[in-house]
Amino acid sequence: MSSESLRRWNEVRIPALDEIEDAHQSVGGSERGRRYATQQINYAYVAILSSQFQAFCRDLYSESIDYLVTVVPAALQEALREEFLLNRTLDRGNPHPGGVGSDFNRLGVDFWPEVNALHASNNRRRELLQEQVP
Amino acid sequence: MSKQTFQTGQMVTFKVGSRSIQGVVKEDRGPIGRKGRVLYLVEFRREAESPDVSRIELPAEQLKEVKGTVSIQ
Repeated sequence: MSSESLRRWNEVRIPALDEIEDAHQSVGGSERGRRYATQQINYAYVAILSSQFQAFCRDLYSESIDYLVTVVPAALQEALREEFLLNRTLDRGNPHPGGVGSDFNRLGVDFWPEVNALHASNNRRRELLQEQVP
Repeated sequence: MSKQTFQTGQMVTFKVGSRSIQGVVKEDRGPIGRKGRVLYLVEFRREAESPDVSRIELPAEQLKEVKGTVSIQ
């Protein structure tokens, strides 16, 4: 099953992040000012990375709901949609691991243990996400 | 798949059981739904006088434009 959220991440969000990387590389020279300029780009990159990752997670969550509601009777679907959106942490604040996990846990998955089981590096990635968005 | 599109701020109605509920489109979430259908984030009140605002994400085919209204954005 293909994911529209993943397609958007690959085709829209990653290129947007690549543009920031390109900007970083294009700030050339060896003067003292370059270090300051690249540091500002680094700060901007972290903010944009957090924003794009949050948007991806939010898209994936919404996409998941749109699939999940189809397995319940039509009369219950709207109530279920509303319930899944109630207090969604991805709608506010940074996409910290606790918030991402608690949102997706509501969909019936044991999110971080299942993510960690998918790849040996995922636990470290979760730690880095926590450092990025405390 | 519905070809109808909605604008942010547009008044819409949707069905919950036998009830028709009115709300406002707050965000076009893009084609992220099942089979690439477009989802819209809609804010609404379950009861007209209720202070509580609820939110729901629905595909275009489940929304109906409220005729004769203007965008409130």
